[in-house]
Amino acid sequence: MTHELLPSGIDLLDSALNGGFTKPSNFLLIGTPLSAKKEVGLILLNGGLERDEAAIYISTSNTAEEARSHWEDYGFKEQWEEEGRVKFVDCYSKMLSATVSDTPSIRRVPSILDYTKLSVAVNDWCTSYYLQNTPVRLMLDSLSAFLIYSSLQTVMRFLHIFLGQLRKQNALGFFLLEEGAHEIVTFNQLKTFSNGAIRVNEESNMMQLEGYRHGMNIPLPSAVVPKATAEASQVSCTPTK
Amino acid sequence: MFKSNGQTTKVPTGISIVDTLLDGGMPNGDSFLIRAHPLADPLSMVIEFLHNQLKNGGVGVFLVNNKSPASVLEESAILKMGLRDFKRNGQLFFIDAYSALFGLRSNEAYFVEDPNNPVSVSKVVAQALSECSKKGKVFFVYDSLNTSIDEFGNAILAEANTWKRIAIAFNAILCFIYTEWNYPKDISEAVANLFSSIVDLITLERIVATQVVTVSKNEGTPVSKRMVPIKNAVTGGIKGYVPKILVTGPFHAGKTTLVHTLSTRAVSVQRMGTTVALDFGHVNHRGFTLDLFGTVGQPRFDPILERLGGEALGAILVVDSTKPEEFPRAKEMMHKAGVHGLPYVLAANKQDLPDALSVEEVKKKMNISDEVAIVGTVGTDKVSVVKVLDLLLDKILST
Repeated sequence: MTHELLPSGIDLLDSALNGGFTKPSNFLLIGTPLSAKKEVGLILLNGGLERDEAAIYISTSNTAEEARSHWEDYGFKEQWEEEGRVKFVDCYSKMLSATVSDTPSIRRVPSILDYTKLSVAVNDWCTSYYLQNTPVRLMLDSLSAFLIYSSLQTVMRFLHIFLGQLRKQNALGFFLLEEGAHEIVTFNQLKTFSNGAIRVNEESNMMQLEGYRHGMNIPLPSAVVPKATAEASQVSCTPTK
Repeated sequence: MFKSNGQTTKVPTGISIVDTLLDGGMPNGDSFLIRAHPLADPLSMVIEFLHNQLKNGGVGVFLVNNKSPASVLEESAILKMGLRDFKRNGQLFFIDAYSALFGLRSNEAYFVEDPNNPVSVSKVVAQALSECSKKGKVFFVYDSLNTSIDEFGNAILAEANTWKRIAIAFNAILCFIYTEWNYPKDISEAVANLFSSIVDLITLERIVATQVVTVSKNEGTPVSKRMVPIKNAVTGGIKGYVPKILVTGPFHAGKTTLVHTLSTRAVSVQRMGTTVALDFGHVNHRGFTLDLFGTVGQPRFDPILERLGGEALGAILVVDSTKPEEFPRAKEMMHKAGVHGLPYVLAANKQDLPDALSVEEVKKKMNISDEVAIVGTVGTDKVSVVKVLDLLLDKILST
């Protein structure tokens, strides 16, 4: 298996990662509720899309349309979806109305408990990109929603299979996790499945790497924290004490 | 309904591939498991089973615990095997063990108010089986056993054992959906031991997933796995599917004619009557859909042979029976296409020409093993070329 470096789309993060993400790999995006971890994830997806990669967004607590609308505030381009490079797997809409239909870029899963349908949908998209030789980034928003309705053991079993398939297809995955919503043991178990974690701290407007390049602090992208634009551009990566 | 081996009465599922694998169909008054790989979706197969039972006047009872009843109805409509009318007509009943998980009420005939309690689930299942059996022959679907195992562990298997006894009493058929999510061995084994018949939906371990259906246990007896590749058409249900059969052989052996004679529809990329890229044909045969890929015979196109041969499940090697000097080239092409070792059938073509070698002579000159079937063919004669396809299909299915 080749290990290719993919620029993240955030320059200072790339410096900290010595060039970018290793592919295939998966990262937890950790932060307290409303800490902009989702927005950081969107910018990481944008980073791939700007390089002609594809992106799959799995939404568990919003409809695909709501997710797209939010993404529009953070650089989403309609053109990407028109080119077939953005796909949504929507685990939420059918819980509101079973009759809502799929579209060329949206696959609806009957519920957040239907792991089979979810894995089949993601695998279909990933296979299609793999056959087109198009690298793919995936964001699951969020693991915490799964943990509300399923036990940790169930989620771990799902991830074991799901991440294995993503690795085979050479994909890059980002998995959102709410800080403070789960016990330490849950965090630690989920970390065993990832190559590293990016912890988003809204108070300091910084991201901290865990695992690979452990302890590196990186300013949040200005698009995520508009007020911090000026300061962020002046700040470089610093190791934590 | 008929008796298999003079013993158990069987009810056909209505899917010919599965009925063949199950020696006639589902065991009457018994339960069976649809065990799926996590990348294979078993629901469409089960909807097709259920739809066929309801069409024949049966009564359906469908338990859902990881999706809403409305989602199942919607999926059936997308598959063009609509279940809504059967529900409206009082032939299909849902047990809703899902809505309460989200604090919602349900309008379904049966509602599990406390889906977090296996006894509560069991009580409603027993009630539904008992009441619905009075209306007709019940086909019961449990979707899904793995969601219950996630919730209750092994406890749900003891309850399932009780339902099996009820099924025997009412001559009902129970069908459990189960996705094998990397459970510990003791759970996997306990699930497998609970059922006398198991239909497996497997995704072959490739980068691009290929689905096959097989039966690993039939009427309590483990059976040797005969895997049938399948395609789950968005409409029209489950069909056997052979995504690639390579048709190869030397220049002017008659590959293009053979592909066109066999195919329901076919295209060839040709220049001045000679194939210069490939022949492609689509065939519907014996409940299977098959795609044929014909190669170019001229050596200068050999670099694309390997690419065309990739992921083929079998091959038809076509030789001109009047040109034995081309036979070594035919064998070379099998190697270059990377299909040597796969099931294949030799078509000794152009048998209508006066100087054609007999099938036996072709076999001897090519030094072909007895295991390889050889058929004398005339490219335009459908009977002879279909025989080639039949033999190849049998070989693929028996591997």
